[in-house]
Amino acid sequence: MFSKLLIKLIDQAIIPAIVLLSARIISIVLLAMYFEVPFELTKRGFIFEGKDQYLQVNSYSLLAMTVVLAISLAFFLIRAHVFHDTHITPKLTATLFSLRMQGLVQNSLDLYTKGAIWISYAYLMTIVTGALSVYSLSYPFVFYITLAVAVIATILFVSDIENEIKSSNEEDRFDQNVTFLEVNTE
Amino acid sequence: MNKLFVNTGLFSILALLLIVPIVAITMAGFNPTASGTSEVLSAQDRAVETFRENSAANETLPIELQEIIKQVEIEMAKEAAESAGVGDLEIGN
Repeated sequence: MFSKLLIKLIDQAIIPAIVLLSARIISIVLLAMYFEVPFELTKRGFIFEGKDQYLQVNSYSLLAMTVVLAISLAFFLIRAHVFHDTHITPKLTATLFSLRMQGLVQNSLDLYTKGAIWISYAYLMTIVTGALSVYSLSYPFVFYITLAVAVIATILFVSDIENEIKSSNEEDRFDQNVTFLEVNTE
Repeated sequence: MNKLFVNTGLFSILALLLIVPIVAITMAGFNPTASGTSEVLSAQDRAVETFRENSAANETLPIELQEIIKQVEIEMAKEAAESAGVGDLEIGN
């Protein structure tokens, strides 16, 4: 009755949402303390006294969010390229099992749902930082960095999907050979 | 039909989760009235400072002439304040 894919996506989206929300709140408080900028916490959120102060804290806070997003994407992409169960090397598999770290090995469904969520966040961040920089509410370099992170992550994610397709094609070819040998053996 | 409703609900939850960080970004702002007030106050300070400087320079002149100059300066300051949109200010304390 329920779509398994949607439930999986919701499950995978909870932690990134909490991580990014925490990064935003903590970075605003820490940056305001670092720059010695007074602010009020109201129903509308963090309110700064002047536009310049808001611009400074908001830009570096968005940069902090982008850094958190980039670290999370890097962690996910390493898992996708190195620990993906379809193209992990036998030696690494043996090492991971001997170290009891087999939890690092991920199947395609887990990886692709995580990837879809993190890359969605990356593009949403890009759109928001772009809009804010257009209206002079953040420095433009934040938008360029976020865009670069999103594009690089997408390219690496697509290359992992290509590896997956390549390995599945090789498996198909091997299956045909087995069938052929079986026919010959009989 | 029931499946469609359930999946629509699930999709809405997913969309809400995706929007959470975006809402967090819009949770900060600045007080535009505070910056406007500071501009008005700095304009007032400048006007008062100019008035005091001119008053000190006019101390050597005869009293009648000082009065006339003072009247003219007050009128000029009022006109300048009105043209700058700060007409409610009291010039010269």
